[in-house]
Amino acid sequence: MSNNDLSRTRDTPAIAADFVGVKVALSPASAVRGPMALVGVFQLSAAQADAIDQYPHRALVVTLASTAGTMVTTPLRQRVFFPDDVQRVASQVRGYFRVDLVDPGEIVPAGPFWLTVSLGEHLSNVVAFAGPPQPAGAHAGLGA
Amino acid sequence: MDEFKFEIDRDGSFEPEAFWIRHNNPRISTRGKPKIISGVGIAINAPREVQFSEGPRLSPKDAQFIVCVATRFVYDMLGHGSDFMDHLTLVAVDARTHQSYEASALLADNSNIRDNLVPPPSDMLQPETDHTNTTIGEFLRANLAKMIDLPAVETEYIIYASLGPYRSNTLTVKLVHRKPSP
Repeated sequence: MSNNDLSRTRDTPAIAADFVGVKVALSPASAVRGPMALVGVFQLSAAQADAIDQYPHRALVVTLASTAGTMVTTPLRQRVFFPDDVQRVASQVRGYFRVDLVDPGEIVPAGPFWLTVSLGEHLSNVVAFAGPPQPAGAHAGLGA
Repeated sequence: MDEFKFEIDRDGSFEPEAFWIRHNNPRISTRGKPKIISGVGIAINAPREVQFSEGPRLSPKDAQFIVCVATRFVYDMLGHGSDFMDHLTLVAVDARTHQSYEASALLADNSNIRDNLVPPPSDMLQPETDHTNTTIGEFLRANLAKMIDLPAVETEYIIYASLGPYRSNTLTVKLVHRKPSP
């Protein structure tokens, strides 16, 4: 996994003004390779956010589960941040993120996968990733 | 299916009962386990504080980083038959460094306590019972100090469990240095 964006995208899920927690979605599926990125938003009270980190993005934990097991990663833990990477409005702190699930040249494994993001004690919704469309007769686990 | 509801008592005892100690089996129900009231899913319970006295890594003989897990799923969810705990993963995140750790629940097991390691023959007669509404409950009492190589430093861990599309509740556990006896 790698990261490349801390801005809201057209696929980032919308949240209510009083939302507290993390919400994620998958980017639209490529016709050939399936969804390639996990996009999301977190919003916490300033007190909650400051208790986690000056830049809460660092504490985002991506949990990727399959039928075979689960792996976790903190893709933004060692990234350098700048003050405008988080939005402070009234008493709330909001941040956006995008995490690439598969590098452009990488083979997309067959699903299904279930992804969540945690931030402190907040767990996001679960999004399902079925894997890339499998052409008839294709070898399982290989993209087209 | 009903909404998933459960109860936990974080301030109760997490000491194993005599029967548990006799069998030394982490899959036997014991004190500290979450009580599932309705629905399907995963629930965890853990003490608020875990003490350690040795370093530089946590030792399971010294630190009792106990996590009690209860699951209830419909039979054969994800093709796991009636054995879901083997596929469950425990996640621990250091709240100060944000370092994440994961461990398969299999690592909680002691040796030679799991049966049915040899699958049944493929031509074995299958029961005709309809299990589409049968729910299976399992328990686990795990010591994370045994399952994950954690540094022996004072911090807080956020823990939860994951299995396929299911996530448990999240808990925060404080890791503190044990004060020497006077």
